[in-house]
Amino acid sequence: MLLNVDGVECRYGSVKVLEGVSLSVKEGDFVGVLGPNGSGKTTLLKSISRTLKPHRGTILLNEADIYSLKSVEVARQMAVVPQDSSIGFSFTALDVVLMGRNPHLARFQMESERDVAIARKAMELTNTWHFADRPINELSGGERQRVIIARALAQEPKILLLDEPMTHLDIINQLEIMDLVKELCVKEGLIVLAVFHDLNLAARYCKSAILLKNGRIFSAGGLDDVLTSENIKNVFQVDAIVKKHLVTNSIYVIPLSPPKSLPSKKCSIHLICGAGTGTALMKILLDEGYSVTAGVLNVLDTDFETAQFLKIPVTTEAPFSPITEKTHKANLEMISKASIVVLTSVPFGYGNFQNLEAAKETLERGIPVFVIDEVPIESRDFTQGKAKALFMELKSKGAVFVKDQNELLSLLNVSEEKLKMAKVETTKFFNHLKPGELPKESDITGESEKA
Amino acid sequence: MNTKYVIYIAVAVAVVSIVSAVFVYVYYEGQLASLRSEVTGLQTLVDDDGYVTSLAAYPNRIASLAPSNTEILFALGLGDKVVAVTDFCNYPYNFSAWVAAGNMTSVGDFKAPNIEVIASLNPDLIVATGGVQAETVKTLRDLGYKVLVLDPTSINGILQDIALVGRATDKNAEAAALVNNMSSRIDAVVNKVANATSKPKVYYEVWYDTQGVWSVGSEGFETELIAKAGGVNIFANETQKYFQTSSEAVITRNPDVMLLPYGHGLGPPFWVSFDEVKARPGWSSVSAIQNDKLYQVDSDTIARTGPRIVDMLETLAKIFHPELF
Amino acid sequence: MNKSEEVESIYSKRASRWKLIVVLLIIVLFITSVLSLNVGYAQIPFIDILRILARQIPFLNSLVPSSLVSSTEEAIILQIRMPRILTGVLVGAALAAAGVLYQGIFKNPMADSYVLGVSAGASVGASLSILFGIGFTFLGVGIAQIAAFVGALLTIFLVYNISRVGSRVPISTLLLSGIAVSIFLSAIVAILQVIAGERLHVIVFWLIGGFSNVQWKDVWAVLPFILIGVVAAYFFVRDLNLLALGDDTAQHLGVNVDKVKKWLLVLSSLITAAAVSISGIIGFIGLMIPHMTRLVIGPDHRILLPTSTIIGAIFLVICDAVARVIIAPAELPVGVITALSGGPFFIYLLRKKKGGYAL
Repeated sequence: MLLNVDGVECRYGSVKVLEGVSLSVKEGDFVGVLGPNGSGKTTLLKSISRTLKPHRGTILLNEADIYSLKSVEVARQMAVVPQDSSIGFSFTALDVVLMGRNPHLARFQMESERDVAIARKAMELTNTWHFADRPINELSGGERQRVIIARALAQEPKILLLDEPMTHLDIINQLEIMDLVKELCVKEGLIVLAVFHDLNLAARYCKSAILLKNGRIFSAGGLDDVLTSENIKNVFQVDAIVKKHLVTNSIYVIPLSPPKSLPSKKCSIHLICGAGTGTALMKILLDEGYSVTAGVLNVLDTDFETAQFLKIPVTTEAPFSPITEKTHKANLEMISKASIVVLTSVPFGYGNFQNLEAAKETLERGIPVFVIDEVPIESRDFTQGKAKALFMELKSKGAVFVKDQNELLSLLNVSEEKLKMAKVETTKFFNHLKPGELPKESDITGESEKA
Repeated sequence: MNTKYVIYIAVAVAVVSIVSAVFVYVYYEGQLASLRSEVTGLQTLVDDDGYVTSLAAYPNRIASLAPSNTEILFALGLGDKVVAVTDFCNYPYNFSAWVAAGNMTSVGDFKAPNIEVIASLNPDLIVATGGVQAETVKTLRDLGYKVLVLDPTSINGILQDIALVGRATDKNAEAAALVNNMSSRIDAVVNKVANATSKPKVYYEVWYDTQGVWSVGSEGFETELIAKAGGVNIFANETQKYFQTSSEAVITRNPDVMLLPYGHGLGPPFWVSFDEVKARPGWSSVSAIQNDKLYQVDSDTIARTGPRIVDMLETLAKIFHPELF
Repeated sequence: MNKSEEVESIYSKRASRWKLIVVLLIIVLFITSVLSLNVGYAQIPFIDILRILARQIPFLNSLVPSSLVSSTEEAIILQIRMPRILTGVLVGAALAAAGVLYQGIFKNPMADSYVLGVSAGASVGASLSILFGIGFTFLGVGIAQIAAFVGALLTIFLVYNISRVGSRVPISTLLLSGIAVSIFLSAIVAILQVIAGERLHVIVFWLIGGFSNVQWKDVWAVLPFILIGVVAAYFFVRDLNLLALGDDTAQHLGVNVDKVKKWLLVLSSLITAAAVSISGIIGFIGLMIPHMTRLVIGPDHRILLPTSTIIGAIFLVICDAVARVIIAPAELPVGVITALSGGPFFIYLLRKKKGGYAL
């Protein structure tokens, strides 16, 4: 069984919806058809299922032009599950599934016991047998969708076309049905061509995929090759992190919200973090318009990977290795270029103890240090008290301790304002201050003085 | 069951249906043919349809399908042979009372006489009219009944029809007497009004409502009646029997006399009152209204093509030329 | 028996159940028709009716001597009542079957056999022929009948071609063209009525609908069309089921949608044109009988088509009997009876079903 699509061009009126699309599927293939709205996914399925004849190009089923075959012949081999179908007649669910047997029945042949058995099996596999005698127009969207899938299965097809089959289905049904389809693929060589909106679902089940953009194939091939962040950015205009999950052994895609356009601040912040504690902060600070650096991070550390993705300059250390002197010095140099240093609630062991020292040295140099004290130091001190001690030192030396990210952010905003105003009005306002005293709000706005 | 098997069955049904249809046609046509006996008997009659009917014997059971025909039959003394009349027949007797009492049968509305009723009476002769009864007449003839269609278009035609009925029923003497009587009365009127100095313009109103005005044209009876009575139908140049016109047309032709029928076969609420006519917008300039020459005419008599047409002629002549009578 | 087995057994015994229903209905139709022979102005004892019928059957002929039967009664039964009842059967069956087909093509509960302008076209044909050619016959069939038939078919042809896009006929376009053409033709009928003069009565009677004066040769003219049309329609019952799921789905399941729709249009129009040519416009049957049957028997066309057809026939025969009797010796137009009786009954069925209505 071989399905060959060659140079297909489809039009609605004079508008080209698909152009130059070619692909080839054989037994056991599970191909995902992906792409943004209007890219031609459904149109492609329509052209294969003979609903929309291509303007150009051929579609061959086992070397035979699919459009020259009789509807019945095609229906014996190909089943289609459309996106949505409401049925206004009160046929029972079993009636609808039995209609899937139509291509195999002669014109006046009634359904035999074997046909009913096939329908029953299909319905049991899709969890629909228990409402077999209920009218289809009384069923919920999800139940109806499953009945239609059962009908497609009852057709005993060699090729199954699915158009966004997962709408209306809850999680358990999604998984069960997709698992079922996958099994049929593997065991009986069923060919599946499925349109997915949900990239993660597609990634989980499809072996290969084609990615459509504006009616043309943007990328085609193995799923891992097609679903990359570059491709996703290019086609969907969305930043996304693409990772392989170790348990399901499949890719998963995490889309990121498009960045807010805020005026960029002149401030640069250096993050001392690790073990995932800095990942969120990196993104937030970038979004806020700060320029961010980080260190020292071990390669393979979660925060390191995030920094890589976000293109944040990092001082790195080899994986699983303690921070060397050289690296430490490099970190200090990076810090010197920053206006603010933020220390996250990262656990400390002998390997990254140097980072705490770096924080202390920074403070001594006069660069403001903010410490996010979300998790008590005691529970993340793996240096038998040394970390804690240094921590307390930071406190006494004037590091600003904040409870969480939000406090940090609001403080940062205030400091930004202060710094701005300070540059303008330094001489005027700071005369009356005692050494060590921080300027108050009123000093800056000058209200109490002038009022 | 496979498709081929069913196709055979379907073809068989098709063949059976066509064959049965043909059989039905042939067989029952044959039956009907035997009903229409081709006996060239007593006489052959040609009626207003141009249809030739042959009677084997004089009829004893006669069905009348129109009020005018009923009047003719009774005028010729055939009342005891009449077995059916219509709901509209009301002269010379109150036939609805007879029907209610069970002494007479009605075939219903003369526009759509009930065939089964007619058939159950087993009449020897059916006297019908033309126009809307054409289908009924055809069906009756196909079923084998003798039908005479009386559909005169002129007063002379009425006289001929009376003679025809007389011939068909062995009442030649009575028919001749009636025809002579009618003819002389007609001639008397015509001769008298020939001396008139002028002919009044006459408007005969069939119907008036918000949709329009209906009057009579040259093909209609009433035009000939008016002319013979010494008047002129203002719409004599319109050929149609009954046609729709407008108030403006009547007003511009300025009739001297207006004939307003009462009845229409309907009761008093539908009679037009003179005040109403005078009040019609724009009609006040009409000569007939200014001179108060509005007359009510019995619509039963004026439109019925029976013996009483002469009565109507005399009435009209007196209206148009009171000075001569 | 647990539920699964129950469901399975219902399905495997379906075919025999259906055959039983159809046979029962045919018997009911037969009995109704014979009983209807008893209805009419002339009071003919039922035993005489049976005798008259018996004399027509070759084998029983000898059992009934001709002296027992009056020729008047025989004429009334055989020449007046029988063609009328047979017309009722044919027209009722035709309109109901056409209604099923139209509702299947359009998937619209408001579609009936007249929706594509068939009735308007037939009216124009009949009115024109009444105005200009009354009395003219062809092979014994009246000109009005032939003209109505031709008018109906021409109208369908026109509407179909207006809405065609290549080889596809979009349903909504078809419906709208049908309505537009209907309105236009109805206006023409109105004009014809205005200029009809004294032939107005004839046109009006034709339009009201009814078969008071039918003879055997009129029946002969339409019998083949209706019988063949209804039987041929049965070829497409499975396709009708699939079409109910949607055009695209039907095509995915192996139905040649364009070809089937064309055939269904042709057949149903043929049937309707034949029925209208003999009986004028009788409403309600094509629209309501399929619905009523569906409420009781379900949407599967394999049983819906035969049962609707037979029920339509039974219904019209009964309505015609009522029309003959209710204001005797005058007659109510049979279309009035069908609407008056059917409307309330349908409403009753709807209410009984409670949970709203779906096809």
